[in-house]
Amino acid sequence: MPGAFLAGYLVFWGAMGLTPLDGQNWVLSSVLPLTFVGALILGRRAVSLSVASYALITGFLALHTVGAHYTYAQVPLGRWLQSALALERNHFDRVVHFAFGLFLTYPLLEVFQRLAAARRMFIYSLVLMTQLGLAGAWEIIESWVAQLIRPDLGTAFLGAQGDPWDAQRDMLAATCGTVVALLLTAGGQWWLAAWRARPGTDHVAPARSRPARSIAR
Amino acid sequence: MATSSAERDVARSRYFWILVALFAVIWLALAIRPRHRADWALENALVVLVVLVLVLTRRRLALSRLSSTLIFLYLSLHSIGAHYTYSEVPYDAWFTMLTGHSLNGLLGWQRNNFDRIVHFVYGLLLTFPVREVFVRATGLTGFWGYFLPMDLTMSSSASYELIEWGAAMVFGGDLGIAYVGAQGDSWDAQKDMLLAASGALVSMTFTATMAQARSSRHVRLRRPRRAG
Repeated sequence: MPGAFLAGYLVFWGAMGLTPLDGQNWVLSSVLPLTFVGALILGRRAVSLSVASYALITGFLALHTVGAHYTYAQVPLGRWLQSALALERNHFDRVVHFAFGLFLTYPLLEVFQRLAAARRMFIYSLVLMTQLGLAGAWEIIESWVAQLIRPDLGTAFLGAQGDPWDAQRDMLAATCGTVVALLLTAGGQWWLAAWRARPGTDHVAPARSRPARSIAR
Repeated sequence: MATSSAERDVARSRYFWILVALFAVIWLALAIRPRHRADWALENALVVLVVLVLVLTRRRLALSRLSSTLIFLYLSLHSIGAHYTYSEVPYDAWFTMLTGHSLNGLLGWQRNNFDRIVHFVYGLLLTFPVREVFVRATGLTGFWGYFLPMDLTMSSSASYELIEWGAAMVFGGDLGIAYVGAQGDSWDAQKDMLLAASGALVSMTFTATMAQARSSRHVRLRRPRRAG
């Protein structure tokens, strides 16, 4: 993780952690992001990503930090949406689930493209499935936390806000974000290739910055 | 015993068709007077699709006998669930008949857990065939060759929960409730997915252990020959 992003994230995280609405919730919400950042730092040689990927990851983590600060159900933006669109609940968590797919798909794609030299459609499908799998894993962890802390609340707990189909909607939001990100990436790559090969330029095939390396030993 | 690869292909293809025929018999038998016809039809929509895909892609997939058998076992189990409607499968009555004890009573279960068993079995039985196809397609070995099939099982399980939700929204009422089969458990989707992932983990750990044991045996067998 480039130092500027890391420092920026840590400062923002620290600032948001000064006066969270709910301290316990803040600590719980911070466990996974900090683990993730730690893993990125420790594994920076094994998995070194592009600056764009690190920017996307930082953006997502910042969104999650805002959610954690306001315990998701109280985020002002979500409240504004709630009253503006006459919604039954604060949908900021759904926005972040969507952002999970939108922001983290490209970094994952980068990792997979480096791991396996396979056809593009194959890698794209694999990324889509992985994101859905991760979204499912997140829902499982959320349900554990909810059952550990407030077993009496059931789906009325903070994350679901009383929605019996919360898990499904969250996973669907993440999937939609992933699909949009994949379409944007494919479109962007196509446009870039077309722009490089535009008439009037000596077409030189762009050198691959990093050769695709198979993880097959 | 030296068999050519063509002979092996014929034998494998014969085995595949025997399983298809066997499954057709089981499926037809369970299609007779199911508990709830509408729920049976809904549960079987995906089965028909899966079997069709398996038959049409049989040459490309070239599943091993073990993989075909695992898929066959899973589909048969699912057909039982579809026949009785998952939440009404009388496994407890069968268990009581055989052993004189209630399984739910022994394990302290409050609900009909046949669906949970089948979710676990889904991961347990189907991750191996997925790995077989996946490894052949990507050439991945080592950790990723075990982890990504598990991940695919997890995500297909999550997709299934989304399909259930969609069906419940479209059909609603009793049919929707029967198809989702939550039986009032608000954490149904999470538990279903966790069980599928656990089954996948068990299956991949077992597969990796077996592969490890086999390769180390080969090494042990080969070493003296190399020395001599």
